Amino acid sequence: MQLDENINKKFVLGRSVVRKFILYILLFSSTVTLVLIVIQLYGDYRYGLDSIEKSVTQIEVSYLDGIINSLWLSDTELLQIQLEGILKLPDMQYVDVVYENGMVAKAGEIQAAHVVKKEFLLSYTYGNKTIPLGRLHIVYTLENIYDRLTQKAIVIIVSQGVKTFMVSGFIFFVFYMLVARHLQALASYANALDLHTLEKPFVLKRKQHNRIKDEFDILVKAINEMRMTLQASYRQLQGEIIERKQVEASLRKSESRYRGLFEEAPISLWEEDFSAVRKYIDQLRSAGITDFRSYFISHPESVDTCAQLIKIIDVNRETLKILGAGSKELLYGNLDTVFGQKSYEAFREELICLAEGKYNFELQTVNKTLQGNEIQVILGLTVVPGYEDTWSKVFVSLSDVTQRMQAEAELSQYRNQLEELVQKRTEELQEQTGKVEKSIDELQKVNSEYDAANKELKEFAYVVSHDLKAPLRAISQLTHWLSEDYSAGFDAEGKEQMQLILQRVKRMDGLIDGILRYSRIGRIKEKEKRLDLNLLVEEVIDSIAPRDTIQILFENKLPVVFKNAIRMEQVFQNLLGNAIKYMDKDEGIIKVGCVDEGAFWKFSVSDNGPGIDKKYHEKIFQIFQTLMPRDEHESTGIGLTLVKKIVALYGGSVWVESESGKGAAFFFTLPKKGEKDEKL
Amino acid sequence: MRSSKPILLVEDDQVDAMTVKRALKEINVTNRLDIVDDGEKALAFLENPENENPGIILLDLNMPRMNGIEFLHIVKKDDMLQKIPVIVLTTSREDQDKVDSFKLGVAGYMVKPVDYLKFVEVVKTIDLYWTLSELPE
Repeated sequence: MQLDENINKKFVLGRSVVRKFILYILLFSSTVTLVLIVIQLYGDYRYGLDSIEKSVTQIEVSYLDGIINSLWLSDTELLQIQLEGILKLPDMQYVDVVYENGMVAKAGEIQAAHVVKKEFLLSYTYGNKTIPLGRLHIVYTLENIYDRLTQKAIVIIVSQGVKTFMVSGFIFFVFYMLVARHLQALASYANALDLHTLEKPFVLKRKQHNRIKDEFDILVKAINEMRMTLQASYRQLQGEIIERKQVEASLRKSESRYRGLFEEAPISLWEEDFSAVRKYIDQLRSAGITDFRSYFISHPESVDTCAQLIKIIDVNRETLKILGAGSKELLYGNLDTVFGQKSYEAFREELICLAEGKYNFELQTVNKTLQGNEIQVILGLTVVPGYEDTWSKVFVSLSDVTQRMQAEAELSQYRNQLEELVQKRTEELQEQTGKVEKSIDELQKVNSEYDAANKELKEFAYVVSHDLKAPLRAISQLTHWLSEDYSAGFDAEGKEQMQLILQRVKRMDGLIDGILRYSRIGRIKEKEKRLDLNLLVEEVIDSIAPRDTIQILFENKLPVVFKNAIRMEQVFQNLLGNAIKYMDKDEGIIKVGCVDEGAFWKFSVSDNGPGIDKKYHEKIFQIFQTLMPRDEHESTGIGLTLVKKIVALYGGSVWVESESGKGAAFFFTLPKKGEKDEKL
Repeated sequence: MRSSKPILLVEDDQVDAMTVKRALKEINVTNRLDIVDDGEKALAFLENPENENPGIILLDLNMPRMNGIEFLHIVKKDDMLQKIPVIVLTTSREDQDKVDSFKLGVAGYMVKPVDYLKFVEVVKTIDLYWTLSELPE
C-alpha cells in the first residue's frame, strides 16, 4: 500500500510538473515555429509571384515586339518559334495568340488547377494609327511554387521540430537534474518520514562541497530544522503520553483496588454525596448562625431537611448483609426503616460535627435491619481528603457491635467474679509470701555466713601452709648440716635415720605445696584466654619428658577453648603425669582424645597401665589419697584432687573408667563458652 | 662477688640467714655479709653513714614490723638507694608477690627451696647474676 502510493506520487509528479513543463515548452516553441514558417512561406510565395511578374515584364519587353512583328508579317513559323521560346520560360505552362480573326496559335497545355493567366493586347502602331492584331495569352502554373513551398515547409517543420524536441529534451534533463529529482527525493523522504525515521536527516544527492548555496540548500536546511523540531515535539509528546498512560494505568489500578476494597470490606461502607448539605449549612452560616449545636437541637425540621439532601452513591456487600437487604434497590427503598427514630440523634450529632469542621469522627448509634431487628452500630464518618470544600465524597462506615457489646457485658460480669476470686486468693498468698520471705532472709544470712567461712578457710589454708614451710626448711637444712658437719659422730643407722628425716621433710614440703596449690584454685581470679589445647598438651608432654618406652598418641584434634592456661596445664599435667608415673608395661601407650558433645567437650586420657579397682574410683579424687605406698611412689595425693577442683570450677565433671589390670581411662568435661570455643 | 662491697641480707628467720651465710661461704664469696631482721632495721642500716653501702640487697618478703614490699616502696623513692640491686629471696610463690616486687624494680625473685643443696644453687645463681649483669656505679 505504502509502495503503491509512493509510485503513484512519483508518477503524478512526473505527469503534473515535468509533463506540463514540457508541454508548455513544446506548445510555445511549436507555435513560434509555426508562425515563423508561415511568415517565411508567405515570403517565398510572394517571391514566386514576383518572379512570375518579372517574367511577364520580361515577355512584354523581350517578346512582345517580336510577336507583333510576326503577326504583322504573318510569319506563323516565327510566331510558333517565339511562342515555344516563351514556353521555355520558368513556370510557363501554356501560351497562345488569338488572332483578330479568331485563329489561334498556341504552345503548351493547361494542366494544373493553380494557374495565373495574363493577357496582352497585340497591336501594331503605324504612324499614329493603332491596328489591333490579336491577343496573347500566357498561363503560368503555380505548381512549382507550391511544390517548392511544400518542400520547404516540410524541411522547416522537420528541422524546427527536431530542434524543438532536442531543446525540450535538454530543458527537461536540466530541469530534472536541477529540480525535479530533488523534488522527487523530497517527496519520497517526506513519504518515508514517520516518527521512527525522524533521526535520519534529509540530504539531497548532489555535490556537497565547494558549491554556492542555492534555494535547495535553504529548503534542506528548513526541512531538517522542521524535522528536528518535530522530533523534539514528538519526544516531548511521547513522554507525556507515556506519563499519561502510566497515570491512567495506576488510576485504573487504584480505582479497581479501591472498588475491590470498598466492595469486599468487612464493615459496612457507604459512599455518599453531602454537597447539598454543605450548601444548606453554608446558607445557615451566612444567615448568621454560629452555634450549630443549639440550632439543630432547636430546629429538628432542619435535621430532617439535611437527611433528605444526602445522596447515596454506593454501598458495599457488607452493608446489605448487616442490614438484611437482598439488594441495593431494596435498601434504598427502605432507608426510613434503617434510620428510624433512634438514629435521629446520631445523625444530628453527625451534622453538628460536620458543621464544626470535623471531617473524621465516630459515633455510636442504633439502626434497624429491614426485618426490624435493632442493631448496635459504631458509625464512622470521613470526608475524603480533597473533598473538604464540597463534601461531595463522604465515606460512612457502620460496624455491627451488637454481639461485641453483649460479649462485653458478659465479660464484665465474669471480670467482677474473677476480681473477687483474685482478691481472696491474693490475701491468702500474701500471708504465705510473708512466711517465705522470712525463710529467704534466713537462708541468705546462712549463705553469706557460709561464703565468709569458706573464704576464711581458703585464706587459712594458704597462710598455714605458708608458715609451715619455714620451720620445715629449717629442719631440713639443720639436719643436712648435722650430717655434713658431724658425719663422724653418726654410725650407719644414724645416717639412715638422718636421710629418713630429710625424706619426710621433702614429703611434708610436697604436701604443703599441694595444699597451697589446692587453696589457690578459686581463691584468685585467673585470666582466661583462647587456648589451642593441641599446643598446650604438646608443651605439657615436653615438660614431663616421658620415658622412651611410653608413647603418647592423639586420638583426634583437640579444640580451642577459652580458659586459664595454668589451670588447663595442671589438669593435663596431672592426668598424663599419673599415667606415666604408674605405667607398668614395657610398651606404654597413652591416648589423649576429645569428643564434641554439643554443649560441652568430653576429654579423655587413657592408658594401658595397671588400672584402678572400681572401689577406689571415688577415693582417688579425695585429697592426700594415694593407692601406692609413698615410699614406693613418692606422691602427695593432691593431683587428682586438683584436677577435680579445676574441672568443677569450670562447671565440668571428672570420672574414671577402669578395672584392675585393664588400664584406666580418665574423662572430664568442659562446657563450651559460647562462640569463644571452637572446633579445630 | 665482683666487687668488694658488702652484701645486705634482710631476713628474720635465723636458720635461713645461716643458710645464706653457709651457702656463700661454700661457693667462696668472701664479701662481708650484714644481716638485719626486718625492713625498718634495714632502712636504719642503710641511712647510717657509718655503714658502707651494700653492693646488693637480698630481701625476704614475710617479715615482722616492716615487710619486704613496704621496704621496697621506700627504697624506690630514694635516689641513692634505688641504684642498689635488690633480689627477693622468699618462700612465697604467689603471683601477686612477684608482680608487686618487679613493679618496685627488683633485679630478681628467688624462691627458697627446702632442700639445702638446692638453696646453694640459688645463691650460686645470684652470685652469677651479680657478676655478669652491668650495674650502675
